[in-house]
Amino acid sequence: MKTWRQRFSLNPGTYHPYDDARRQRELTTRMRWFLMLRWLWVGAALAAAGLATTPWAPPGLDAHPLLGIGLWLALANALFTRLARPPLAPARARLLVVAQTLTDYAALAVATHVLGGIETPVLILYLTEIALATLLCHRATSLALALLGTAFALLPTVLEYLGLLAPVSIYGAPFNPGFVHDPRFLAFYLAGVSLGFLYFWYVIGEITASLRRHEDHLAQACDQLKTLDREKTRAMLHSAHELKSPLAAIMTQVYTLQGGYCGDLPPKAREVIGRIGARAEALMAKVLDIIHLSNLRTLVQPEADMAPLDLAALLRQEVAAARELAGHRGIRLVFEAGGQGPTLVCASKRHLHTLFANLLRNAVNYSRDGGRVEVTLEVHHDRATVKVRDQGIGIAPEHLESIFEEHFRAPEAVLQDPQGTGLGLPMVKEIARMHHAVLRVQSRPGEGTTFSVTLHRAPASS
Amino acid sequence: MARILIIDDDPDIVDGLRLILESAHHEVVTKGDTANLLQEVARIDPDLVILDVIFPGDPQAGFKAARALARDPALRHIPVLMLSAVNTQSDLAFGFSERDISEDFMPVAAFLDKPVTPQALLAQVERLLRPAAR
Repeated sequence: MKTWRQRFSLNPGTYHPYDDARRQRELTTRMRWFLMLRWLWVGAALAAAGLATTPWAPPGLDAHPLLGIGLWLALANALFTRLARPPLAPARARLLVVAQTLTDYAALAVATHVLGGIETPVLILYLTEIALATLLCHRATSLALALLGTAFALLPTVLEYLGLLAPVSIYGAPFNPGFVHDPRFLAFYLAGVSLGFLYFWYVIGEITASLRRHEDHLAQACDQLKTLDREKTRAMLHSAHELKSPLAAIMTQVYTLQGGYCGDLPPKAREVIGRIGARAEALMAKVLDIIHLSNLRTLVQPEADMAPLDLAALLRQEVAAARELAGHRGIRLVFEAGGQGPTLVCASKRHLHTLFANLLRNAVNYSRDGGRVEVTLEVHHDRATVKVRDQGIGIAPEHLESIFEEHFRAPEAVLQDPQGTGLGLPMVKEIARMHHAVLRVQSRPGEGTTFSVTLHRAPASS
Repeated sequence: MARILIIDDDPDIVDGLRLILESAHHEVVTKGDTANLLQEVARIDPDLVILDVIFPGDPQAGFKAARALARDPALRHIPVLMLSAVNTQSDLAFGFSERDISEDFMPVAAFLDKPVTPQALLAQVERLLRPAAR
């Protein structure tokens, strides 16, 4: 059975917010937001001071205290902004939250008095302070700030009751002057405000703690899934290597037989060896693609390989290489680069080579004999878009979603190119992701497919 | 004709390589592990060493052998052709490629990925046996 302490979570036990890097980032972000929010308060106070000097202002509204509040908050906020500059240690950040809250309390206490004490809804603003303190501070600190907020909120009324402060009414006459001198009213007022503030603190604290626990559980589950995924990929990578070694031995033997290093073979035996070699090469291609894709997914620092490179020059090389594939089938490859001079992108050359080599290989393999493949490079501001357009078999709309999935092959693709591994487009997708590139595909069955890759251009000076 | 030492634990690979190299009139000597490496290499006195990377019990034995040969003043002149089925750039796996050839990491004259075609193997061997390549 839960104790009352556990039931009401007044002591959250092992749960400590801001004890990790994620909480620290959250604290810093919210701190900046808190500082921005205060400038709105400064503006509101100065606007109210300005309004107080006009004929439309309520008769009891005094501009001077409002101007003082505005200036006090402006000065304090400028100081806090300076102190909150990074790097901001967690202890200093929390101290700054406390200092800001107390500054706001002081401003609100003055505002409560000059805007008519119990007449005004200014007390509601204390609730925003309590909510922010609950979000940003440990539970005990936020409780202390809630109690201090209650004290600041009630101080003007208590001082007015004790006769140490003259009651003010912005309407020119006190709303009900008898109230502030009635001890029963004071007692009810003090109890009501105190309980209301503490209840608010408790509810906000509970909601915040509950959300944080869910957030932590989700972050933990996400980390576990990432670890599991890496372990799975690592196991797959090692399995692929285990497959590659014996396959390499088989292929070496096939090469020696095909090359006549073991003497002449009868025609039928040469044919059989040829088939074994073709199947072994297809299997090796698949194993290599699995390894390549796993490598792409497990790169810890892909940015280490990034450097400015001329996209137009790379595409010219890729198109020239693809022409060798396409030539014997009468497929024409055309490359058009818009603009003059190099088009620099910050990219990994070997990975972009893989990306465009795969797109071009697909364009050629899924083209009809005598077809045409167009590669275009267009530059718009800070982006460079490469389009690879073929007039081939196309992709059915229901398969467009699946073509980037591992091992997926549309039935018409299998008929056109039985040797495909179904891993080329997943690699393309992975490399595009690595480069923060936008990858698009448009296709009409029987008419052709266009893949487009939009990359960020590198600054010309780099 | 040159004397070529193949250090590889896979007999099928070794047999295939031997057939190809002997057809080009090279003398082939084989060794299935990297034990007593320096003494054996000094005894055999090859013109070229073809070296695998992964050996049973030590996935880095080939690297270690290449480094030991590169450190030995009497043997460092012998070119080493590294031949392996392991060729990946993953940060998770033990991986390398030709671009990783360096004095510290992989002090070898050339690298070929298995399986290698007879034409590619012979071209690389002939290149490494030319005095200018050393």
